[in-house]
Amino acid sequence: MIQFNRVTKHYGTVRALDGAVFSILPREFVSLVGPSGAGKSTIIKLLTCEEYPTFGQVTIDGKDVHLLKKAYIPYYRRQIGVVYQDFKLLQNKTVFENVAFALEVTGASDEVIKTETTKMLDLVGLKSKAKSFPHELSGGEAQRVAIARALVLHPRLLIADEPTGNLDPQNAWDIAQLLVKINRMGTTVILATHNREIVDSIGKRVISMKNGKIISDRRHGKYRLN
Amino acid sequence: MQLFLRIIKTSWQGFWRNGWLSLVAIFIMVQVLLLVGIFLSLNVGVGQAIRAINNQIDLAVFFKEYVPAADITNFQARIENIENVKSVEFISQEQALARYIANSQHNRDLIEAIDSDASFFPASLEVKVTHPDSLEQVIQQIKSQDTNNIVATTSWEKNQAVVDKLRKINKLLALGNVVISLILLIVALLIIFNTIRITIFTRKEEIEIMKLVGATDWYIRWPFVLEGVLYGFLGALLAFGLTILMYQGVVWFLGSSYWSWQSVSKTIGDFGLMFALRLLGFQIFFGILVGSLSSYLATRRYLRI
Repeated sequence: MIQFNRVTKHYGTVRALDGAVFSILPREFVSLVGPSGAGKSTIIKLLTCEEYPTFGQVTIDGKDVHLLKKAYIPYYRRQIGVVYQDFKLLQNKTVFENVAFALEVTGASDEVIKTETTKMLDLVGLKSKAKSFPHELSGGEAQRVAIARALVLHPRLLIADEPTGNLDPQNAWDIAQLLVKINRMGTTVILATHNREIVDSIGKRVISMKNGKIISDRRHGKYRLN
Repeated sequence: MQLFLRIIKTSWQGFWRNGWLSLVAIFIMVQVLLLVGIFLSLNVGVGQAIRAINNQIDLAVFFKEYVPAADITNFQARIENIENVKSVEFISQEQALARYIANSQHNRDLIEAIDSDASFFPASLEVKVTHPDSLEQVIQQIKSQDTNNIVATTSWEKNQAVVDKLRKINKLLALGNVVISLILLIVALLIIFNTIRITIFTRKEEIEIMKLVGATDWYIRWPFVLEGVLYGFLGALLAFGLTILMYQGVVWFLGSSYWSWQSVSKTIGDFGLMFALRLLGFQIFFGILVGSLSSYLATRRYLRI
């Protein structure tokens, strides 16, 4: 489904990503690990079209993502759900509105928004908090809202960028389990993290990175740096 | 349709939730539009003055000294036949003196200076025209009838000096108006642009998240642009109201009117309904243009994700 073909990204003189080659199959669960600055975020930004590669191509289903017309990018992004370390929730909107928001921009009808949003909040176990505001939630709950928002458009790919970075171990573990559950339901998941316990507990494919280079790619990997 | 309603709703929310900034934006809009309005009204005011001076004073044709009475009678008959002339009245030197004495009752010195000598006053014809606008044309015809060269001067020529000055002022005002309007337009654009940019900056995060969720640029931008339109529209209405009130205030200050709703409608009447509408239209157009353009430009940099 996803293919990185010798992708290099320079920020000035810094090589954030250096000749990355890998592919991800549909329904796969891939953990992207490595220390800060290893290039994980760059890979994610290339996938969401926030950044463009200096060299190489990123293709999804054989199409070069970065050749998409600018006007088409919003529609492309609706096929990818993204979850961030800092949740990126709108503080002046309720939990329900935050999730519904993603559907609103697509022009869905009010009924569809209501049923889909309720379904997603149910999936992440936050139905009872629909009327709460983000500042009333714990970190784990906030991240679940973000996951619900990312999934409400039924994306084929869910990208989680350090989703557990701001969470305590218990919440982090819960979020990881939720991601695994989502993957089992048929969504491709890319999890970028440097949380060793999480990666080891999931026991799926691990791509390890360092200084912009991929240093290992194992089918049932563990978190390792050397 | 769903999208459209949602955009309207979002812009309305944005307008209320940023209450203070909205107020500032509208206030600045009012200021600029008001200045433009004042300049345009000044133009009209001077135009009105010119018309008033030409209209209020009936035309007087003064004769030279020692013109035979027959010539004057003959001349009067010819003038009466000119188109647009309502009436012609002959004022002899004696009548002019009598009038002068009557008008100067409060000042004996003035009467004594004349010493009842009617030869100080020229004989004249007082001409009333049917339509004020035809005055200039009537003057031309009267002069062309003056074959014996008996006319010394006319009241029109005396007034003309004042009218010419007013016309010059009006021209200057019109030119100044264009220049000042242009400068104001640029200043307004900059200030409003900055104000709107601040309101948008406070919602930078919201825009960023919308983009990442897959909102199209126009879905994000429309509410801001509509907000700008709203600033412009409300600003224009307020500015128009204030322009009328200020004109009213000047009229009141000059003592020719008193405050009431009737006098407000009279002010609009003075302006001419067409001018009032045009001023309102211009202010609304200008306000909306500046407001929406600023919003459009200000959102641009945050949409580059």
